[in-house]
Amino acid sequence: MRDLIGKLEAVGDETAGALRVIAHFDSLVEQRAPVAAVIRAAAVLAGCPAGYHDAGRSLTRRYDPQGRSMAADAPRSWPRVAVPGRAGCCLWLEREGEHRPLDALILERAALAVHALTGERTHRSIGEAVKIACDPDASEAERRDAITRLGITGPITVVVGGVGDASAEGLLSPHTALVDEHVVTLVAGAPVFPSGLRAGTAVAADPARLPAALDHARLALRLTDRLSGPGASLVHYDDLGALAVVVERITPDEAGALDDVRRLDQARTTRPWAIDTLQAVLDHNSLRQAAAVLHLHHSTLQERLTSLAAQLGYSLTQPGGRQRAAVAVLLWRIAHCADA
Amino acid sequence: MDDQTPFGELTVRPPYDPELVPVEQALRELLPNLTAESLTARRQPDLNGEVAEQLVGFEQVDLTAGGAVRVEERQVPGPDGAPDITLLILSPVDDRGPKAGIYHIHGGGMVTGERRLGMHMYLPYVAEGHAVAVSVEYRLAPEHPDPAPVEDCYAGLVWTAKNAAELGIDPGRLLIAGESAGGGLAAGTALLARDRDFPALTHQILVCPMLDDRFETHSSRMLEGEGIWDRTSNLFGWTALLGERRGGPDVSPYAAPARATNLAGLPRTYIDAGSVESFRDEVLIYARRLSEAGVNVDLHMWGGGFHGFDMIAAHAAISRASTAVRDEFIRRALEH
Repeated sequence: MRDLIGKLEAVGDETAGALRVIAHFDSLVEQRAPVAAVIRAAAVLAGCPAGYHDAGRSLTRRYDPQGRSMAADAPRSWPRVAVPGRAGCCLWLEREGEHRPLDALILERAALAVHALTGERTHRSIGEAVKIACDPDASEAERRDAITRLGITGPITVVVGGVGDASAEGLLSPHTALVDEHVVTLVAGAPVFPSGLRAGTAVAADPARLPAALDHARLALRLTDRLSGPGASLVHYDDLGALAVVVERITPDEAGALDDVRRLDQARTTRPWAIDTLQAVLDHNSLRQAAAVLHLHHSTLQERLTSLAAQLGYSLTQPGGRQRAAVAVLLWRIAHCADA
Repeated sequence: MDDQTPFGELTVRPPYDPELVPVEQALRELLPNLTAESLTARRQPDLNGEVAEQLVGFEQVDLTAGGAVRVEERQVPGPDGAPDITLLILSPVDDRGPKAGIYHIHGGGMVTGERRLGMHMYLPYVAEGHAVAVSVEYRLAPEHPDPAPVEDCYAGLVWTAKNAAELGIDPGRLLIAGESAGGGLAAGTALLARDRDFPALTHQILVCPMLDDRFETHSSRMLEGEGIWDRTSNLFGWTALLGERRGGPDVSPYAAPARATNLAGLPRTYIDAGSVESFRDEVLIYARRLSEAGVNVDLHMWGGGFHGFDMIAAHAAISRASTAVRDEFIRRALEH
């Protein structure tokens, strides 16, 4: 089909090409074709990949001109056209180089076709409003609409938890949605957090900063310990300070490949208590306090640390050893953030 | 004219797949029924002719696949007393010993098309080093009626089999493939190869093949002015090939394989059709009869597909499905 449109463009018959584009999408609407067919049609008529994003459903679809499905995460961002009457829905063409004469028309008619096939969506669910509010691709107007729908004013705390964890859902606020693999909750202001919550949090001073705050809360979640562990199960991004730089720059895969992290993994095969022990010692000023948290006699703790030092190749008591262990445990949490 | 057609009333057809509808509608305007007048236009490289050819797989495909494939043409002997024929030969540049051979026959209603048409479907197997593909430039009707086309196809197959070693083909792994009229000619050539005891074919890949000149099935009467290849175009194609003999008692099974009374001993078969195409029922019947004759058949009917839908509207979901299934079959067929 692209050859057909290209041919019409080449002979300067833009009118015929435009009519062809309009008839194509009209026909898909008449046939009640699926939305995916509209995106594929945009790709084949334009002769370049086309994409569709529905923030309310956390859904992205991309197709190449042969109709092949492409990975959801586009390598870069492209100018988007909003679907009328569908907050958070947009379409784009991934045109490298100069735009073609029919590109704008193809996008416009595709957007109208999606609207006609899916209908108005004005009464969004709370979950959809949360997703749109946090979606980096949503327009500012859509984001503010979504926040208004949630009835939130002022700064907003974003709380992110794993699906299997005791989530913030219901505990803090009804404004919860599943975004990718996380449970995301929006809370007005700075809440008092209940105990029994494993989550990362970050504060957005205004709605425009919600997407960034969601990213930050996800990063904070990487550093949490399990609920029964000695470390913090609730981590606030804004308390991380310099540590934020580490968690932002190092991916889980990179962290997992570091020697000190691999030594911890090896240690855990024979000493399953290794991480908990280090965490408790790092978080307390005395071995007695750490031993109490771990429900151990302090001499047992001392024995454990001695044997760990032999395996890790450094001791917490040597100069710099405590810092090295603290960074290693931090990186170990990043490496294993997806394990839970 | 109406009195002379063998059609009778239009029969019921299933609906087209929704995603295919806009493509079918666009082509309805661009590809009018095939007649003596429109045939000239379709063979000419004018706007509509070119558009039509590009839409049915004649676009500017790089047959070298970026340098992975050697493209060669050979003049080889035609049938006895007939002119030489041209073979297009695609072989992998990176040669790793004898490969399967795909002998290909292009489509075009017996009256149009040329040897490159449809070759993009087989190019990946060559580029990946699994096969050598040979496509025959057979003479077209009505200038060259039956048996010229199928005998040209057979002559090219014989040359290919006899020269397998030189071409890098393992003579024990020779497939025949064709689309539309090429599918019908492939089936007819496979019958000739069986009856003349040479060469041995392992598989026949019959893509929406044109098998039956008689217009007796339901599907051969259900399309008029739509569906890419309607009953009027089909009548034109068969009449161009067979002249007065069309529909009568004197048509050979090599021209219209649906007429073959014995289908035993034919190669392992892949055969497909859309549910909304003229050839649907002849495909279903041929597949059933091959099975009854003891031939293993993979039959795929794609609900809502028009003739050649997966080549013409390759982007549609139904086309992706059809292409993937066929590709998987061919890859198995090419395995050692």
